[in-house]
Amino acid sequence: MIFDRTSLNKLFRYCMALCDQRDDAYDLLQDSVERYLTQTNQTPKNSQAFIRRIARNRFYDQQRRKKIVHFDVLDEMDIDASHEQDLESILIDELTLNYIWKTLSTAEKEVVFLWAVDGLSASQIADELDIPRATVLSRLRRMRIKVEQHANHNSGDQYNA
Amino acid sequence: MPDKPLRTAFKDFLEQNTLSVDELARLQAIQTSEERQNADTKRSAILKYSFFAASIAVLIISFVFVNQNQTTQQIHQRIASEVLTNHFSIKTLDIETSSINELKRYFTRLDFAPYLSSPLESKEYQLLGGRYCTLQGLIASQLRLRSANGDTLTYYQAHYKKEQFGSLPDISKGEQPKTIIQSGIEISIWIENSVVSVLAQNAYANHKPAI
Repeated sequence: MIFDRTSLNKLFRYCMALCDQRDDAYDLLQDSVERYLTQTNQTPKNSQAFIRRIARNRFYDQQRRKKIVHFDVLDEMDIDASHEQDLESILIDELTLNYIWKTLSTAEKEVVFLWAVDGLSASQIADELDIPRATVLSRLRRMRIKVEQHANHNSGDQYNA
Repeated sequence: MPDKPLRTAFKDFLEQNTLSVDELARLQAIQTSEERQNADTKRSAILKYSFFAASIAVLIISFVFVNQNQTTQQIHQRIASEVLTNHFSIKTLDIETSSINELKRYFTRLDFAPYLSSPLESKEYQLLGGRYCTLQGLIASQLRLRSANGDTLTYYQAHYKKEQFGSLPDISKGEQPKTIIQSGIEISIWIENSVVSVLAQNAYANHKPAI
């Protein structure tokens, strides 16, 4: 069997990051597994990355069919690598995290998933998603800004209270 | 809930999502059935390819065989045409004699001594003489003979080379001479003891006239 229990759960979480809805995520996962098995004649070097690519393409195809257009903020190209390291030092509580997650776009969620769950660096994420490294850093930075803005807003509320 | 580093917090948050036992079982069943189907597909693909390869091989072999056969036919036809020209153009004999031994002594430029091959031995022919000629570009002897009914026959011999003459029936192996009829002349071609023999004679000499 190509995908064991651990791999399938990992893929399911990735699909959850894309779809948000449990049922949609499961359908996407099942569809991707079926496509992987029927389309792949030779076992790819990284089957996880390969099936993730299938899932991503399927997801965006479905979105296109539903005429859902994902708008992405223009990337900031002059972000230096220190932003990636700075993220490690931020502390967050579960409520804030839940809130922040809901405000992220699909593209940002995907990058956060690969960064947090797979522990990939910005360069590795850029390689897997086939996008510039600056785009990855830009998405991580936007997530960080949201966290900081939320923290500032909450501290203001506390002060006001 | 205590604060956690951002990466750890996201990891823990996202890893809360897990597949149910039923969902896992379904996905594992899909893999098993798809793998089995893939194996069957691969097996049938191998069979298809084997059949395809075998068909191609048969086609190639047939093509080579037909081509080779056509080439041999073409060579036989060329020999017949060359002999026919020689047969009709009555040129002066280099030596006029009825003695085969005298002819053998005369034809010194050949790689062999001319002789009357076994298909001619049984018949009564009068030897008239001989001259040098060429057959498929190789030096050859042309013997002129006369049959009992007065017909003139020409008989050619040359050293057998497969490149020039192609495959020919070998009468020493019990094979029958190759016979071609052109312009009323029966041309028989065969090999014996590495010597190619060609006999040109009236095609209807041995047949009784219809009227």
